[in-house]
Amino acid sequence: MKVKKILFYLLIGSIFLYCLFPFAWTLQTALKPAEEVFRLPVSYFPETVSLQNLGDVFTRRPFGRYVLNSLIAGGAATVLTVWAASILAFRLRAMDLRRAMRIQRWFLAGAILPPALLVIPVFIVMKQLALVNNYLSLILSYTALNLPFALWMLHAAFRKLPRELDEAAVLDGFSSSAILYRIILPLSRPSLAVTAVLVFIFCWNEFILSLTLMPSQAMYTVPVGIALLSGASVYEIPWGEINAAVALTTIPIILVIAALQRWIIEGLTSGAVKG
Amino acid sequence: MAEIELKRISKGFLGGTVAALREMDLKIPDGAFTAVLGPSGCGKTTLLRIIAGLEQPDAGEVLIGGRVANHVPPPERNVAMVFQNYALYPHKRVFENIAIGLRLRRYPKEEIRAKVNEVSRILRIEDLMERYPKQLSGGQQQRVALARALVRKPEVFLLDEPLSNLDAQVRDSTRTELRKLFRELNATVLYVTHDQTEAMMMSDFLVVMDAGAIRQAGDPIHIYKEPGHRFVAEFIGTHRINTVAGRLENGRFKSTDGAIVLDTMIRKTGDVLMEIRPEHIAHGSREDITLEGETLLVEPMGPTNLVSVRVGENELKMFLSSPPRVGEPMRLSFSSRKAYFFEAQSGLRL
Repeated sequence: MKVKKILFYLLIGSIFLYCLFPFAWTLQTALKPAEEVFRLPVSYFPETVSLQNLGDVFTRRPFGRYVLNSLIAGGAATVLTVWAASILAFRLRAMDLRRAMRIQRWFLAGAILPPALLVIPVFIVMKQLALVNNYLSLILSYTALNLPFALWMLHAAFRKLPRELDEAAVLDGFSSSAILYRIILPLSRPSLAVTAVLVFIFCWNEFILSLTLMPSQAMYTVPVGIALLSGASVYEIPWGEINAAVALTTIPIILVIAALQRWIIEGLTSGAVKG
Repeated sequence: MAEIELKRISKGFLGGTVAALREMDLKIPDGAFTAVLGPSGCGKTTLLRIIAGLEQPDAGEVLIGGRVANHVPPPERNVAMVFQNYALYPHKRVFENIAIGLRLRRYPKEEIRAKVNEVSRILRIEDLMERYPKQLSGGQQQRVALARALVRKPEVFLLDEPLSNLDAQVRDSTRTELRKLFRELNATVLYVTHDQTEAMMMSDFLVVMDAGAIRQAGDPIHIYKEPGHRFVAEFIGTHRINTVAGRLENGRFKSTDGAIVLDTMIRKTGDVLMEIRPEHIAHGSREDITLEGETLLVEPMGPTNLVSVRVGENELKMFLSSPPRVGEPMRLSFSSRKAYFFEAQSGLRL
């Protein structure tokens, strides 16, 4: 029994290490002064903690601007996606299941294409619409890419709510949009939270579209900004700053998840037990 | 209060392949407590939903208080419905659950509070106002659902199996309470149930449905005494009626196995079913038709016993307070006037 327990914790511990090592490495590199980053033998903890890199990212480069760009594009895309998906899912819920699933499958078919394949056509369209270097180009394409997933999640969540709720609401005098906004959405908060977080993470991490659609430096999003961080010459790669930027990048995601944690856990476990 | 009239209502599902209601005509008297009784899937809930306006009939007219209501949207029909699973809003407190219908109809705040307080007093849920539905017991949830219907003072109440989710004890007391409540309100109530005891005990007017059609409608006691269709005879009654297949010729009934023979006033020839209720069969030869049989099974029910007796190839059930032992021979009798005869093919009463 005891051996089993020890083995279990060993296993958990090693998985934990395996998963968190890259992040820990990023963090400690970010905190090392430049000369320590390349020194041999490798030190696993910074000897002198320096906030130089973290500061440089903001002072020597417009990293703050990148974060703002990402927040605007990702945040707006998330809101738009979840809003559009909930209206669609609400309509699908009113249909009989077979028909609703057929429509939903068509949406999913759109999501099969890898985004990289869409870069050129999307760029051409955005160019025609004069939306290159405009937040709207990212917001619209992120929404289109995430809509099938969000629709899938929300349709499943809405279906779980009993039909009689809507009918009771109709008799009470709710309009159909009021049923969506005042009954269905509040009751689907856990699923909405999970959907929003996952969509936001996708947008926050997305690289190839934002690289293409936002070519001017002032419009870079965080992943593009990090990839294009460069040193004083081609031979210098500013590892310290890159790691500082990466470490900073994870903070908003952690904050979002922490804020919605209660609902996310509810959402991931909903339906697990009756009640 | 209002009378409800349905004229040749039809409704099909899945593109008309499944008929839920077939050309149904029905007039529900103003102020009557009407029970709609039938097995599950007979279309009784569909009927309720059509009256509420949640479902549109494929053909026919719905009249509420003399006005055609087919195209009147549900909230304007002045009907309230209590759902089988109550359908309370889980994210709203009890007070809000009851008040929301009035709020959406833009009643002034004080009036809403007064009305909600009044119905909550009637239903004895004043102390639950600040709770959420999931913090209530089944019986309490049911009362909140009723309060939500009552508070709007509708012309018609539609209740869809409101007692079926309650345990037996609460169900009995709630049944009596409901009856009293609606009698005081003098409201037109349509009460859907598959429980014939409930239907018999509660209703002033009973509608028996089967396979999308009305088999019989009228006074419950009359329906119990004079069933017009085989289905009604078999569905109504606390214990299933005894059925004997046989043939009628020149006013004489003879069961298929020849064990039961009796004379009737019916001058008709053909295959029929004779049915007699367990409560109408007596021990000994008190009545005019006497039969000899063998005791098959005794099921104690407390004050009495349900005894199965084999007569020829038929099994007849009857009530006896002091039953014979299993296997003993037994004499039983019934009055030929208490036996019903139904045409074997159509099930219609002869």
